[in-house]
Amino acid sequence: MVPKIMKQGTLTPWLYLSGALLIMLVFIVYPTLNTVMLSLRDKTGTESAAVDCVPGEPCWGTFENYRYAVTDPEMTQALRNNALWLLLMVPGTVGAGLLFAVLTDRVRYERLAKTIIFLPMAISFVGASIIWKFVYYLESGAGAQIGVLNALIAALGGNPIPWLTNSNWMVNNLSLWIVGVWLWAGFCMTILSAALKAVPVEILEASRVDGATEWQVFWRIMFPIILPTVTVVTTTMVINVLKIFDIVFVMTNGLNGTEVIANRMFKFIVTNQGRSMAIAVLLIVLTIPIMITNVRRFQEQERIR
Amino acid sequence: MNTERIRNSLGRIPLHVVVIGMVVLWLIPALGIFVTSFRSREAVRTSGWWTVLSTPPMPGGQEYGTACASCHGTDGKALTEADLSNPDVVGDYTKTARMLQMLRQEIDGQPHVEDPEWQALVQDTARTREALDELSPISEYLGVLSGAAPAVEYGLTASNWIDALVGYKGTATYQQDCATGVSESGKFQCNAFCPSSLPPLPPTLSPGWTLKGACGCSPCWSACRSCPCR
Repeated sequence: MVPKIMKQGTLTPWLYLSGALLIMLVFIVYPTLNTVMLSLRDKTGTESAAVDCVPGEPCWGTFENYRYAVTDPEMTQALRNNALWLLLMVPGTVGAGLLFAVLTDRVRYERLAKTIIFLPMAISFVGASIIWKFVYYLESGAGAQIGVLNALIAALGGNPIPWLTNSNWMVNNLSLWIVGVWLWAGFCMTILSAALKAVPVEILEASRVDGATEWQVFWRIMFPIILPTVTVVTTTMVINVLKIFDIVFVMTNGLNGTEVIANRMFKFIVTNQGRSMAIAVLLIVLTIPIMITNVRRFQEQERIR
Repeated sequence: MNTERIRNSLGRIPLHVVVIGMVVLWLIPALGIFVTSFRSREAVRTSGWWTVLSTPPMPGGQEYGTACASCHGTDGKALTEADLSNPDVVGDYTKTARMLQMLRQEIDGQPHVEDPEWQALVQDTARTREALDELSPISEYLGVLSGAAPAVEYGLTASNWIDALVGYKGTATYQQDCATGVSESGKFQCNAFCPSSLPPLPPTLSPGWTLKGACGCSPCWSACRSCPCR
């Protein structure tokens, strides 16, 4: 017989939870709902977004800000660029991180090499952007090229390239994307390296005894074992890349075809609150599915344990 | 056995090349900004940070060599009546137009400039504009040679760090401004590097003496409230 004092009522668990729930409510649920509400209002948040409709032009009524968020040329460019960032930077960072984790595992100066690759993570995004602005610097006058890349091109006898103000928007985006890889590869490397080190040596030795080449050992044994970690790193990077802002804001401010969603949101935060909020909601909607997969993945791993 | 080991380590060379290559690639951008933080503004603007260890030729040095050095000497001191290392002599001709006018005048019935190409350029009034452009680096060179104009500081300097640490907001550098006494106009105080205890005063201090050398106070320290160097 359990003493009465140890029995829990239906209310008690909620009591324990109340602190966390209150914090969630104040700092997550309320701001999100408020953002959704404001996204349906006009630029100052005082009237319905429908007042911005121009007669004779397509209009979504209360959802006018969302019409802007998905159809405006600037926004479609931003959406295109975000998709491009996802396609290039996520495999770029995860691939570079994995390659480096595997390679440094085999050399004696592993610590030093990994520290240097991880170094950019210690630099702020703004700092990194300034560093790379200097690398990409273009001297358009008669002076010497002081940016490393253009100086190299000039030394090889080529014409300097405007890396960030190119008429080809793809070049500008690639330049920014390289900064992202430089910054984040260390993060991916650290986590993947830890996963690689956890692969049991016995399995690897057994496969080598059986005559597997290093290539086969990696793809048939190591990779499947670390796959859950690769997935977690990839989803984390997807979220990071969807939110990409600092690099673009500092280096090009979205000019020359490099606009991204978060920069668009920031531009409107003062001038047109409704639009800014609609873009924020769009960004939340894009991130949620990935968040869900990430949480599911964590739960699965917990269950295995 | 030994050959096996050698072959094994030879086979690992590509691995080392890739790892070290990636490390270097990752390091270069940050290294660039780090080196740049120790360079003067003018040096950053005119040359790449990787040239920091090589002293770039002074602008106009080559032109001076072909046009002037044969008579004036490489140090500018060969002719005592026209000593180019004297700032007072050079100061009269800082404007290229005045310099050109002077170069067109004959000296003892001979043209001023001996080098045939430069002579043709200087004497041809139809090419005045071109001549002025060509003279501009020489004028710059003479300014530095005579000490009339400050030379660009290409070496490593801590002035950017000092400026950042003391929160300097002017247009030159903290050290320069303090050395020339700008601080005394009340813009900022030059006491960032004041020693906590100042050297003792010499026993005898006649009126009108400046103790700057004696007590180890640089002009900068004169802003220290208790500094005796004034």
